[in-house]
Amino acid sequence: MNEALVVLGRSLIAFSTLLVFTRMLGKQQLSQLTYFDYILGITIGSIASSLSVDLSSRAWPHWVALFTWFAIVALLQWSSIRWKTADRFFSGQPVIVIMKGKIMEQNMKTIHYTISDLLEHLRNKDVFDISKVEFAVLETNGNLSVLLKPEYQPATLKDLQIKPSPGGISTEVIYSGVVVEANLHKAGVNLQWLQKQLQEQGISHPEEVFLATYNRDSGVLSIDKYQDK
Amino acid sequence: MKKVIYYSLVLLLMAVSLFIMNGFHYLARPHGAADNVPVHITALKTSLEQNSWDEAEQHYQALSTAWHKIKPRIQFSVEKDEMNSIDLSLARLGISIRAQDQIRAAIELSEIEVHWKDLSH
Repeated sequence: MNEALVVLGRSLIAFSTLLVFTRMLGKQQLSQLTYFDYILGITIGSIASSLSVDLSSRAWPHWVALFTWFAIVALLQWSSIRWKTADRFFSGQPVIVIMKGKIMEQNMKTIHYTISDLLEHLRNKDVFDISKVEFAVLETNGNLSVLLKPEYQPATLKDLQIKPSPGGISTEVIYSGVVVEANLHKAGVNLQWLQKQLQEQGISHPEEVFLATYNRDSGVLSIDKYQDK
Repeated sequence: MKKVIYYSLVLLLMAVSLFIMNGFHYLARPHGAADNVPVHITALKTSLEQNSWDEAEQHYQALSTAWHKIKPRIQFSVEKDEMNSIDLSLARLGISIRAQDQIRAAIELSEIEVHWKDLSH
């Protein structure tokens, strides 16, 4: 029995199964995961690793365990989407930790959230003075949402009555020295235009460019060459 | 069309994985007399009961060959410990036959039989 070969085969099964199952579970970002989702993820990962390397038992029972956990998670997701009560039960609820500038000690005690945790989260939000906070809510994914008191909120262009210039999204027109013609067409320009722009900046060939992006709204072509002076 | 190809690939991947994990009965199916483990176990049992040691040695060799032919085919679907147990019992069975120890040989052979049945569960 060639152990390495068996591990290779079982690893491929574990990998492909995880790939399919995680794709089916959706595109929830890691930062959006609740603590429970996180634990579920670790458990599923642990089962997949057993499927891969635990040769003392057959691969099939591990695969069944993997499928069962996947089915449970899928069921939780499905019920959370359908019923608000289920969502509240499985994911928990956001908790207000600061309301109208007052710290909600009782709420913090209930969720085992310390004052150091609160101050740390506030610092992460660039708030170093707790007296500036009007509301703070601890979300189910562990993030703190902060609303500053009106006098400390940053001024917007509207407040300053300044007309914003168009922003828009820039697209890559040269990527690792290769011209992305599809993006050129989408941006409403062509290869001749790009070559002219490159020549104006002293670049004779697109291969000299690491990344070039073009913003259609502002008309700005931004170029980064391989050779940085 | 892309969706059909995508889902077909996923289904194919899952089907291949499930077959590899559960294909013992198909993969252990003998392709001839040379890799028929159950037949050689039965023949060896008869030889031991008849104290026919030359015949037992021949059947032992045939059983050993059959097992080593089957092993690479089923290694992805079974427990490694069960396969190791068969290897050990087979080695002890060989010594018992050469020593013409009927009881010991019968014990080892019945152990191999049990492990062989366990492989399929």
